[in-house]
Amino acid sequence: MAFDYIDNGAEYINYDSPNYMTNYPNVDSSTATNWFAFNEIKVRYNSGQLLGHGGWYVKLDPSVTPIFLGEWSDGSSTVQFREKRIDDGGDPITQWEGVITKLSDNTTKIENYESSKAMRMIIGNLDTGTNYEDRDRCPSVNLWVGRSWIAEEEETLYFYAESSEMVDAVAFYYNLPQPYDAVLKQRLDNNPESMRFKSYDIYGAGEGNFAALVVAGIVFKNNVATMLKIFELKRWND
Amino acid sequence: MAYGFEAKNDSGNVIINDTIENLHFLGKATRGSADSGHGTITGYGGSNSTLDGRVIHTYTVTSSGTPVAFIKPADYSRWHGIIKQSVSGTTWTFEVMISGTSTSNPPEVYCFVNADDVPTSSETHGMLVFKSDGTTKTFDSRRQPLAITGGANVVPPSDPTNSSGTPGTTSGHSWNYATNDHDFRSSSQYTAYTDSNINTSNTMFACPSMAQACYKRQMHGYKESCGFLGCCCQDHYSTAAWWVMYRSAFRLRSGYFDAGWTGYAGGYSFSSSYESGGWFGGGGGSYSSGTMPYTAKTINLQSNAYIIADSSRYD
Repeated sequence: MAFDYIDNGAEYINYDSPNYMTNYPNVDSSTATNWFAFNEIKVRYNSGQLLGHGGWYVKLDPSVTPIFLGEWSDGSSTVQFREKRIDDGGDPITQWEGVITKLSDNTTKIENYESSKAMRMIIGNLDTGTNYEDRDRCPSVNLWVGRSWIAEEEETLYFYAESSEMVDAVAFYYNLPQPYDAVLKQRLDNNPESMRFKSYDIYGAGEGNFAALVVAGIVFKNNVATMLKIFELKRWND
Repeated sequence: MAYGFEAKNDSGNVIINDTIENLHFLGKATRGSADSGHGTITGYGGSNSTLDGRVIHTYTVTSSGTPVAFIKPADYSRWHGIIKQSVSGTTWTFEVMISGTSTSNPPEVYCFVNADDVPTSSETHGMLVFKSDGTTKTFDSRRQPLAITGGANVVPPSDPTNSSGTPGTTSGHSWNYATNDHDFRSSSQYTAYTDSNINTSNTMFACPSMAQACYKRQMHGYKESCGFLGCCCQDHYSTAAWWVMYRSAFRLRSGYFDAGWTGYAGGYSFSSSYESGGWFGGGGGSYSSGTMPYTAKTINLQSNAYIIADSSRYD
């Protein structure tokens, strides 16, 4: 079962499930109408502890709109992402927002996302935005990729996790635990493509030589860093 | 004309009589604020970002009549145009746009009004011509009547952009492709009119900036990543759009009156979206470029008259 705290969690089928559509298009009729993972994502912190997980789920019926959702591992909340177009005041790159539901009382709050000026330049030669120079930024980071925020609660600054050396330096700078265990740390160094958020031409190397952008984030509450987390995105063929 | 005074030139045209209200020098308008910018496409950091730039100088002058404004360039290599003229009470405001981004060497604006609207001269000698009502002046030799030294009808080319042809929209680019390939500058887009009366020392001109243009280059990018055994595909969309709005502007060269363009404003928008899932990459399953606030075209493109005069007569 993909989810423990999301309604009908058993209907979501991840890659490691025996019911995954590995024989597509010959799919077992008993699961054919389920949601299948297209991308899976895990968020880890505190030496590799799973903070939450989720993904992009599709149905075999192409007329059904895909869904983007996840849950916190402690059962405190779930999240569903929805599109926020640039025409509606959204960001030119991160065109989404997360609707977080607190399960204890079913209240919701919005997590907003924005891309940094540096990422906008890399992706689209867009010379707008900020690189958060007014924040407490760890000098070991070379590329701040964006931020998210929940009003009056917390802010997260995201950066390009180029290596474990850099992530460890960030952990040391903010006096926070490393976000991964030894296995994931080794994966970051040896096979960052396997956990990349996306590939972008970060170094201007041209098509075919894009860099694997692995994303980590520092959560701030009242301007104090409280958590270092890393995002591990898994694709169907990885 | 049953009686009175009438003067004609060698061609038999009436220069002064009781019905023609000649323009007389009111004074130079007072220069106020200057707004400078748009030397590059705002928000764009890639190649082909350079624009001509423009400075908008604001001038004011007080008059009970409607003034005709002449621009006397301080830098004759730059393009000039009066892009706005308004009045509040008796205070007239002119916005003069010139090419480039330097606020140095602003032009001077010489203003002329009908003889009856020009302040009364204290000089005791001269020649005054009145209308048949006997009170309304049509000419006052004491108040520096306007002497026009040349003029013609001019029109700029319809395409204000240096690149060949006007820019358009193309698809089939790679996802996130965002390199502008159109030269939006206007430096080579003008029509030159021969006028032997023009020099680059004293000549000033009056010619309203009537024509406007707005053009956009837009590129759509796309990439598709297909999932398990081609079951499902991930669409990636991008849109890059560069736009520039222009006003017609004019340049005086020795022996030539050039009718061309200067960029008034320019901007860039970019959108990158795709389907994905999870804490950092959710949403973004479709694409919309929105509705642009204009349709790319040139408007008010028609011949309009310019007149020139010698500014040194009024200094």
